[in-house]
Amino acid sequence: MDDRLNIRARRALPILAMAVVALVRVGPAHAQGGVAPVTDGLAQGLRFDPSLSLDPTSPQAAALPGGLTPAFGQRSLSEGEWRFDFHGYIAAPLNMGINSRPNPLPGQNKTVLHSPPIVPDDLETFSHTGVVPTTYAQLNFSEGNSIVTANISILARQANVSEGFVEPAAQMGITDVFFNILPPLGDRVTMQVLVGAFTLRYGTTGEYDEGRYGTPLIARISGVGEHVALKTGLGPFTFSLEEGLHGQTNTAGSSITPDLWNNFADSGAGSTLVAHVHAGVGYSNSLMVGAHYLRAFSQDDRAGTRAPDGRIDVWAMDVRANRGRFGHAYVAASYVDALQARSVSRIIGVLNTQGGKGLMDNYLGPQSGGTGQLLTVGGQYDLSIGRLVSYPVPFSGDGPDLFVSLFSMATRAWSTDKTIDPNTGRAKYDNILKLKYGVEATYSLLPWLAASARFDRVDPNWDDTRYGFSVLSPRLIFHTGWQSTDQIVLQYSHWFNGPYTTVRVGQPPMEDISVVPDGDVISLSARMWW
Amino acid sequence: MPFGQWTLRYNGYLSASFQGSIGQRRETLPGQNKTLLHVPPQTLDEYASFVGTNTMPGQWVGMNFAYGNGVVTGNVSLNTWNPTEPTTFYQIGSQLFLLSAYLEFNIPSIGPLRPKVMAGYFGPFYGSLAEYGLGMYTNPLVGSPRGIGELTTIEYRLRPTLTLFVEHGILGSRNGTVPLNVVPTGGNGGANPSYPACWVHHAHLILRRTGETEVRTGVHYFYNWSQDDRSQQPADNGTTRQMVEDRIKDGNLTVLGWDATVRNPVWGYLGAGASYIQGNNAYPLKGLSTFGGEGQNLTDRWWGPLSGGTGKLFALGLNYNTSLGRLLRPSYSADAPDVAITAGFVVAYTLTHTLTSPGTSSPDSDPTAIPPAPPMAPSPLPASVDIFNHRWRYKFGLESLYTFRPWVSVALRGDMVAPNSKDTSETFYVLAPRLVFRTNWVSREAISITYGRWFYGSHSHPEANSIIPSTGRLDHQLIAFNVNMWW
Repeated sequence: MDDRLNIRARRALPILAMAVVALVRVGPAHAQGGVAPVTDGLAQGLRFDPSLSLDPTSPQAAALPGGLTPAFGQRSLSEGEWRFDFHGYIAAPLNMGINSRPNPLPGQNKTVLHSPPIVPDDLETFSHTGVVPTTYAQLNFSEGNSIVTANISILARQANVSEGFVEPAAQMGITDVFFNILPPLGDRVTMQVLVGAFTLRYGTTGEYDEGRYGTPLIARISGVGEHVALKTGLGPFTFSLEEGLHGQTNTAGSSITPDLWNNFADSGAGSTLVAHVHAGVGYSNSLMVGAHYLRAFSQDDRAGTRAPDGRIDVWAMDVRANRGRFGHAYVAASYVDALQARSVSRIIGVLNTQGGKGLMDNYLGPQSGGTGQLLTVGGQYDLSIGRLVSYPVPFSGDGPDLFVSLFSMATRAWSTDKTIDPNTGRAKYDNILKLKYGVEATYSLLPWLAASARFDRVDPNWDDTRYGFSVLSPRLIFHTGWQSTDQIVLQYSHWFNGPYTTVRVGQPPMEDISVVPDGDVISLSARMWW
Repeated sequence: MPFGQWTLRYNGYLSASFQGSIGQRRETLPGQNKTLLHVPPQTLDEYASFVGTNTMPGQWVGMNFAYGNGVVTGNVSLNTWNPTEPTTFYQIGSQLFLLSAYLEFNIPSIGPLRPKVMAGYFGPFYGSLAEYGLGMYTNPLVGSPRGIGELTTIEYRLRPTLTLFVEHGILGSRNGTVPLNVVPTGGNGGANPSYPACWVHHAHLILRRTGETEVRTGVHYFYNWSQDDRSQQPADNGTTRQMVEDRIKDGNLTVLGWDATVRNPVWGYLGAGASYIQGNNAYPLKGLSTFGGEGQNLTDRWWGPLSGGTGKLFALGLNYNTSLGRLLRPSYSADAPDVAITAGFVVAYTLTHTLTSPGTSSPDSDPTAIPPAPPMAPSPLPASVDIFNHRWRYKFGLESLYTFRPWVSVALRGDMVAPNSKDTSETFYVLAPRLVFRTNWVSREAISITYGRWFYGSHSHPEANSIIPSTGRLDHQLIAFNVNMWW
């Protein structure tokens, strides 16, 4: 199985790259360290890499520090060979938020330690940066041949041994259950059919992962249904067409009380279907321009006899460029039009929110009824100095390297909720611009050691920077080899918070401006993928 | 497993479905469509209920891991009936995690006897009418004990083609006893401290004749009982009509069963089974799933809530699988067009010794208690009619699958369900054409698209379904998209 445990080491170009070129040792003439998924039997140029969507077996987590990505989505090589494969990914962090008590009582220290840290890094919010590592374990089991593969994944977002209390919904158990079918249609057309329960992600800024923010810029669809991708070629051009239809398997009845144990079941959400189509044009396996349309809609009287039918439409375009030594770049723009989306369930997620209610809670406001619009633009650029300066000699990754990422995202929200923010005197949800950007650089100086730093700036309300904050995160990365599939990361992060920087606390998490966020976080995390 | 070599084995089964039913709104307000789309479906197809027909393919994932050698094998299975990815909230209990964990010993022969022992957490099935499953309908005709314990099988060859199997097992309820101070909520799966520790003792005699026509027949005995003082509560819960919590009686269930299967390379596979179930105060009993379910379902759906789990149930079932290719072609090959036919039939009859009509009270009930709520299975019958006593129920179905290409088949299934001999207007019919896609004539996987049409009687209703609100109407049409695979 070792030959399948490839690392896709993507190296990025920093703005000030030349200053550190001297630190980079050019590697011997090996094959490129990053290897695309196995695509034997497919015509050259018609591979599903790059594709319009992320492989469903990829971890639902942000990119690893250092630009490494587990190689998922492998398959057997022949029709006659039925093979069992086992892949996985684990991330186990110890996080400690450091804060101070305003008025300590006798027997109390001035310094307080929080785990999990109280920082503005909730996945559903625009403030999420992914700087604080989170617990995640995913085991992927597959059985199949070159035509059909059955995939089952087991997933957890908490490890029971380290929990302060039991969170049933964090033990997701058997999560994905789907077929991956690759019908043999000859050399001119390739087809991939996914059927069953799985997640699709569009607008992922990383080449093979969800990117630095762990946020698909277009949408995430978690449902049961089908997805068909067709690809054909003409000269250096490739043409892709994808469609899908997804539903859900359960609906919360009105007798269920929302609580932590049921992941806050929402009886106000009805049965929801998501239909989507995508088209893409690629050039020479290095450039892909895509157009996307998704519609999520609900027509269910069980969401409430007076509840209007809701829908969420998403239009988007994206460009993905993989220019070899010049690195990987991705840019996307999406426009979300939500109409009475309160009844749309969480099988669709826009910017990591959960369904129509999540969109209301995080962007459109509670008085909007789920009606409003979002315009999002974002992207990421990764480059390896080692690969750049070693050209034309291929860079193997078995040597010192500097890897840099630039990433940014901006969202403007328009809403029918005209609530005035008492702090600013302006609308709290309508016509709000949100912006975040960051840079990360990792220098691999020894086979077992790399030094890395990341800087993020987040402005949840561009018109009032008092809500914004910055994060600086130096870290040390230890691993067992230049291209090992493991890492232990020791990280310190300091938040430069504004006076109105807001965190979410409680269950379900609610914004509370009276809570003073932690200024410092120390984390020690272990990750491995196979 | 090979002798002398420790080996890992992984096999499993998955079935994942998208299911949606189509209905109509009674009144349409601004912003609402007339057409309704319900997921999960609002059709009359409850799992494990008598009104369920299994027309609608369900969700199930089983991952079975075994490690061992020729003598001993450790088995662990991971299971779920609702994968988390397409869910909209977390359903406690839908993720079964480690459902079974047991050791299997293949003890070397002792003279003519070949013993085998299973020990741990597991649950065997008895009364499976199909070759590789339960048949058209999901309830086991005889019974399925589940829990922790042992199952010993001794195989004795009477003749070269005739083998006798003697089985004996004892199992304890796997969940143990719920502590007294636990309040049943959705968060703990409805754990009820009134449920006692339960035990199942079972024994079986099975004869198997091998040859061109293989015949297997067996008689079965189960006894499920409790003797636990910890389930006694300080006071009665007046809303529970099935038992009096401060005077909980020791309950028991006895099941006597018979089943037989015949497999012939030309005529196909025929299965038949029957069971007699007798319960005494069986409402809180767990650990033995009979044709009518465990004690709670037997009480609520078969003998009436006021019976407290005392009653009798007779069940008889048939299942037949064959194909025209087998019947008509001497040189039958599965790698060719064929028409497969499956037929199933189940009939059941209940006797209860307590008056269980609506509005009447049980002799054991507290006269000061809150008046009972309407029965779980409402009926328009007058109050003088006992719904559950002397009630016949039957259903039958026929499915035909025509495979005309290696990768595609068409199928048509029809079912008739008569849930209540006392009210024929509860009878309903289901017609379900479907398309089935595979990767070859004989493959391990199938993708099916099903359209189902329900033809309800005027009084057709679910037995127990939290998805269908009491004010909701049943949908007549269903569309389902299912994938399944085994390895």
